[in-house]
Amino acid sequence: MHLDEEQIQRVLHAELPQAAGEPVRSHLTECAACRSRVDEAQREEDRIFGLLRELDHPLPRIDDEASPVRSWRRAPWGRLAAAILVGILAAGAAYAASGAPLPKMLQRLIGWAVQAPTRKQSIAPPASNAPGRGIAVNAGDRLLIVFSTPTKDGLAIVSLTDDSDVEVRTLRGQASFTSDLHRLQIDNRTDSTRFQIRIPRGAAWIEIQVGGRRAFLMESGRVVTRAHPDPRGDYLLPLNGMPPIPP
Amino acid sequence: MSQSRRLAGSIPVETPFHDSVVALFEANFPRLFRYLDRLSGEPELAADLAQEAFVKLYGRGSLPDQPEAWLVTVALNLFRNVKSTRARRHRLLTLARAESVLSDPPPPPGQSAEVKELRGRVRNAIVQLSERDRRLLLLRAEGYSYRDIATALDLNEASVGTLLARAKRAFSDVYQGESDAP
Repeated sequence: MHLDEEQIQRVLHAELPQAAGEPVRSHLTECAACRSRVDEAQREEDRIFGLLRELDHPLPRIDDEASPVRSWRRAPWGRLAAAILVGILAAGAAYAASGAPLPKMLQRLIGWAVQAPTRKQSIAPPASNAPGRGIAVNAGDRLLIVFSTPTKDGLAIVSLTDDSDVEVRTLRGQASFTSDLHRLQIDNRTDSTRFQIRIPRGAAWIEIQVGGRRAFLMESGRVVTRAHPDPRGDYLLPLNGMPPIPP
Repeated sequence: MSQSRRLAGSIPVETPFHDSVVALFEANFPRLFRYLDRLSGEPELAADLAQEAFVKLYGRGSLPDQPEAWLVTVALNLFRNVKSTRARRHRLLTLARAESVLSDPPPPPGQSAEVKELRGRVRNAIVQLSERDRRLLLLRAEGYSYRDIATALDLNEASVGTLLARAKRAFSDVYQGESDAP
């Protein structure tokens, strides 16, 4: 009676139970055919696992020397920050107590988290005057579009559409987009970047901020902005830090 | 040495638990990250999920019976949540609107076309496996025990070896098909 597939794999992975595995080990010492099957299974596994390693990316950097608390106070965190905060609170008072050190592991996580790259998509400038590249996000129940810094000659043309997605394209210049569930951040890399933003009329709540100030708000079909619509009904939103609309 | 600190107005902080979590982190973060990276093809997402699983473990305040399996289960649940919220998945707009956003990153400069092609074939083979085979194979590739695999994937531990052999066979068949394709 030869070894079955389960037993072959368990031999391979040293997963044979101590007592129940004895007959299997004993059989292997006597059966060249089964030893050959184990060897073949080992070769096949080495080949497959070697292929899987081709998919690997470098481990994220975890910096022992990070200064977590200082970074924590100034870093925009989002969901991860909340999770870590919950973790800290639930774990007890190690953080809250004066002078008590943050657990080393959390220090590392925090230190790493504030330095980890966010998912950022770099958008190459369009090769011609054709409409450029951009990003589309589902409007969801709430979406904040953030232009991180005002730019002197930048302009966003905001149109209302009957689509379900918010679309942002570069018409001119260069930008990168960083997206989250309720937030789309746009980093314009050139002073005169021009964007086209298409907003679904049916969206519940969409706000556009420029340099930390609210420049456009559409809430349940009602638009509030200081920008003036052009004859086609598009809103021309300067990205030079125009006066904010009231909250 | 067993030691606990009780801070004024707080719950006690058991040092052994903290040390255990740190030891688990040291031993398991890399393989949990690699597992999730291979599973998702998104290293940044994998890093997010792996660290969030550890934060949840720390927040739990005590170690579960099988911490390694617990971490995998939590990370997989988080991954499932991410996938479901991708109903509102972001997509890049191109002129043709055809570029994929969430595939493997472009190869670094200097990486040969052969390596890129090999990665693509492996990735295609992985995604063509059933979800159970994919998770099983990737967990074992990271050295998780049969007991942890059975717990994390809700399998009968007595049949993990058989299922693993089938998963490897399925991978080889699909990968061979990928390699033979023109």
